[in-house]
Parts: sequence; structure tokens; C-alpha cells
Amino acid sequence: MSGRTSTLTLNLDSGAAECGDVVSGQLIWQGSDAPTKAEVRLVATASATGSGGADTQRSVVVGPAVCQLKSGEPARFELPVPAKGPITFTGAAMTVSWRIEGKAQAGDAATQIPFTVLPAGGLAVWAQQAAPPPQRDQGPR
Amino acid sequence: MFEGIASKTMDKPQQESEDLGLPLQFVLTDDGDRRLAMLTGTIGVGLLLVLVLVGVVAGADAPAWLFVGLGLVAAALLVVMFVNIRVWLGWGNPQLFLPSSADLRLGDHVVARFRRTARRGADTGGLEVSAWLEAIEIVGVGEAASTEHVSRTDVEVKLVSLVHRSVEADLVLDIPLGVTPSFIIEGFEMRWQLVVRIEAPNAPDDDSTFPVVVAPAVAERVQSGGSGR
Repeated sequence: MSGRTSTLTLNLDSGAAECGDVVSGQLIWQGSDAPTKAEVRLVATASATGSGGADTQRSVVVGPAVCQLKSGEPARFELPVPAKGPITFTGAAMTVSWRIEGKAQAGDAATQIPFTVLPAGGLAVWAQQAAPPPQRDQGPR
Repeated sequence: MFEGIASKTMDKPQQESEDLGLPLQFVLTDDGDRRLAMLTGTIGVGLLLVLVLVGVVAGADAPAWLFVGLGLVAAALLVVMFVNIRVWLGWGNPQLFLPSSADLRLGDHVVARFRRTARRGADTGGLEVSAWLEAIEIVGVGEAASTEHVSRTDVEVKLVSLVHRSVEADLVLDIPLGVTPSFIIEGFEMRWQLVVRIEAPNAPDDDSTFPVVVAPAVAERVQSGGSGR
């Protein structure tokens, strides 16, 4: 009997977006018995700096965007980035981070990628100032 | 649950007839001194009346701790009322005139006009005005509840007028490009406010606080190639 490995992979068109813009990308299922649908969400998490407990975190979710999955075929999605933010930042007392989450509606397959939210008009400005590029760390689960 | 940017909570009366000779449209005002004085005075006087009522009804049977406790609280509130009334009577409500009702943006360069009038008995001679922007990170959840961190950016003050017991000053608001805009997420808040301090030798010193909103957007002057800090 051969082992079956299946993965859900998230690819973004860009690792950063501005407030009021959209984040887009594709979800790919590799393996047999693809789940019919998957959901993609944009999640912002605010947490007290230096603490890791769930009681010091609060999250806001945008979405979900529902994707129809077929094995090996990318499914496109788009989600709006809230015009009022918040932007990604690390402060003295708190941190706000964003991530994209993909999860099959059936089964345990899931994946997530960190994402950077900039102020409206910030992409060009930050590029001009040679700001560090947004972190991209794909990790299918 | 998700409230985005903190909304302005101050009174915003529109100035239509007053001509300052400047294209200023939007006014913020701060009558916190008067409101606090009225509130504490009302509660303090109310507690005194309760004391009298208890004394009349219960007489010598009333417990001493009740009189002492109520009396101390009433006295403290009346002291707060006196201090705030003194400030309020010394100075009229401060006003901040802004070019528009639009929120501030990152990299913005905005000139606001501050005005305050001294009431009878207050003297504007030797008066000094200073101002600064405060960015306050507020954490109100879990074991980190009630944590605040305040960052301060000094504001350039240009004294415009100091006549007839009235002080007017232009405040040059330069919003840095790399700061965090206003927001609220369920117990986490980034709050911005402008503080204007008047120090006068013959009137009580006073801080006027005006909440402002810094939107998560870069000012157009920066996007089009202008300089931003």
C-alpha cells in the first residue's frame, strides 16, 4: 500500500498590500481526493508586546473567500484589505501582524502565510526609501 | 468588534461667521475643565446633602464611619471642582481651528490655529505656549491590561496674537512618515492627541487636549515626491 501525501499551498501575487487595496493569489491542492472547497481568510492579530498568551491577543478576520479546488489546478481568490487598517507594526506596548490563512472545508488541510499591510500610498513610498521587503514564508501544513 | 480608526469624541462646532482672515473651516474645542467641575461639584454637593439627611434622620444613631467616609469623598470632589472651576474661570474654552475635517495623514504638514481667551482677572502678559503630539499605545486585555505607552512629537508654535486677553498661535503639525496610524481592535488602541499648554504668570497653567485621527494613508504631498519625515 503506497502512502498518500496531500498538501494545500498558498501563493500570493504580492507579500504586501495597502489599506483599501486587495490581496490576491491562488490556492493549490496537490494530491488525490481533493476537497471540493477551501476558504481563504485575511487575519489581523493584535498582541501585547513580549507576551505570548492567547488572553493578550485579539484577532480580526476578513473573508472568507471560497475557492473551488481541483487537484493540481490553482484556484484564484481576492480579499479586500480594510481601508481603516490597522497596518503591520511593532510598537513598544503592542504588535499588529497580518496573515493569510487557507483551509479546506473538509479535513485538516490548512496553510498560512505572513502578510504586510501598509498605509494607502505606502508601497511606492516604502519602495523609494528602500525599506526591507515584506517577509514571505510559505509553510503548508 | 472591529472599529478601525478611533472616532473623534470632542465637540465640533462649525464656525461660520467669525473671520480670522485664514481659510480655516473646522473647529475642535475642549470644555473638559467645565464639564469636570460641574460633574464633581454635583456629586460632591449631593454627598453633602446625603450627609445632612443621614444626620437628620438617624441623629446620634448614625455610624461615625459613614459621616467620615462621605465627608472625605465629598471634600475631595469639591477640591477637584474648585481647581477646574478656577482654570475654567481663568481661561475660556480653547479652540483649535483646522484646515478641514479630514483626518491627518502620514507625512502631512498642517498648520492649525489655536486660540484661547483669558477671562476677567487673568493676564496674558509673560504667557508661553507650547504644544506636542502624543501617540498613545493602549493595551486593555489580559495580564497586560491598562498598559499605556506614550510617544511625544514636539510641535512648532508661532505666536500670532497676544492682545485683549486673547492668545492665538499657529501650530505646525508635521506628522512623521513612519509612525503608527490611529486604530482600535477590541482592547488594543492607538490614540493620537494634540496637547497645547499655556503657562502664564498670573493665571493657572493649563493643558488643552484635542483628539485627532491619523489615517493609515500617506499624504498626497509625499506620494507626489514631496519630503516626508
